Amino acid sequence: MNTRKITFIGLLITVALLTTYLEHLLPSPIPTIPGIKLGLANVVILALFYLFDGKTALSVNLLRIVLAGFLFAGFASIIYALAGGLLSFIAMYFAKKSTVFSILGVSVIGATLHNIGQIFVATMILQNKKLLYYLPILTISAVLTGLIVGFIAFYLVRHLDILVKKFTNF
Amino acid sequence: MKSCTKNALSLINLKKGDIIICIALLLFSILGLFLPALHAGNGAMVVVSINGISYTEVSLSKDQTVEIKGNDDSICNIIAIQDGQARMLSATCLNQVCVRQSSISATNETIICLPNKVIIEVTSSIDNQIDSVSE
Repeated sequence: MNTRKITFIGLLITVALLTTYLEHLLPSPIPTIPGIKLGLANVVILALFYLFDGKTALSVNLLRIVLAGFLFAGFASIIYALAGGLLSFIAMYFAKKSTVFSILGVSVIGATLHNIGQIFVATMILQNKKLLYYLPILTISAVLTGLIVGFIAFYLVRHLDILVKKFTNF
Repeated sequence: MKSCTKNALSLINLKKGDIIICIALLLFSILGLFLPALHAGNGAMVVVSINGISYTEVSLSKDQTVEIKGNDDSICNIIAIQDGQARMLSATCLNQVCVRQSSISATNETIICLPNKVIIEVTSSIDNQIDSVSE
């Protein structure tokens, strides 16, 4: 872990935080569940996953969730976001490992499982099975945003790859 | 624009697994959208509202006819409950669409008389009035 890598990752954490903040400003499509958002910050997480390794991506994701929760989203959102984030990360890890999916597929899987994780935790906490009825519409939007996020992440990885190779060869 | 995305897709190295998972997820979700309707089940009562304001609630278990009178004397709809089903027996509206509607019995089903602004809706019981309350 050299200084350049630390700085680089630090900058990306900031980008992830900023995107989370921007999404937080947008009105929530589903009123009852705090923290159900478009997940644009996952562009950074996904890019880190492909640029470095799972450990880096996971730590950045956890950091971002906790920091965002403290800074703007509220403590309640941390629980839901952690549940969704962990579940989606495990799925993405195995999806990437299996090499059956490209970055788009991994992103879609991550997005859908993030939503599923959040809904399940919300159903348990709020003791309300009717929340599960949101799953179909959320899955559809997850597939769509997953594709968009995957696209953006792909280009991000392509452009940053050269930069990363430069300072990891120290 | 089209060639742009085509180039991008080939660059990304799109795999079969991607297409399969996307289609599968979309398919399951679209099917899942119909779940609430299937799950509805038979209703217990009918809520009548005029102009958006709750007017009365009628139980589906007892055969009866209920008159719905609006503020205006020209608005009068009569609903008939029979065998756990409700239908519009008569109405003072011009198009009579509501009268020709088939009877309703499952939760969330409605008969609407647009000119008179009368809506009758089947509800299951008290617990579906509030979806969830959280602090």
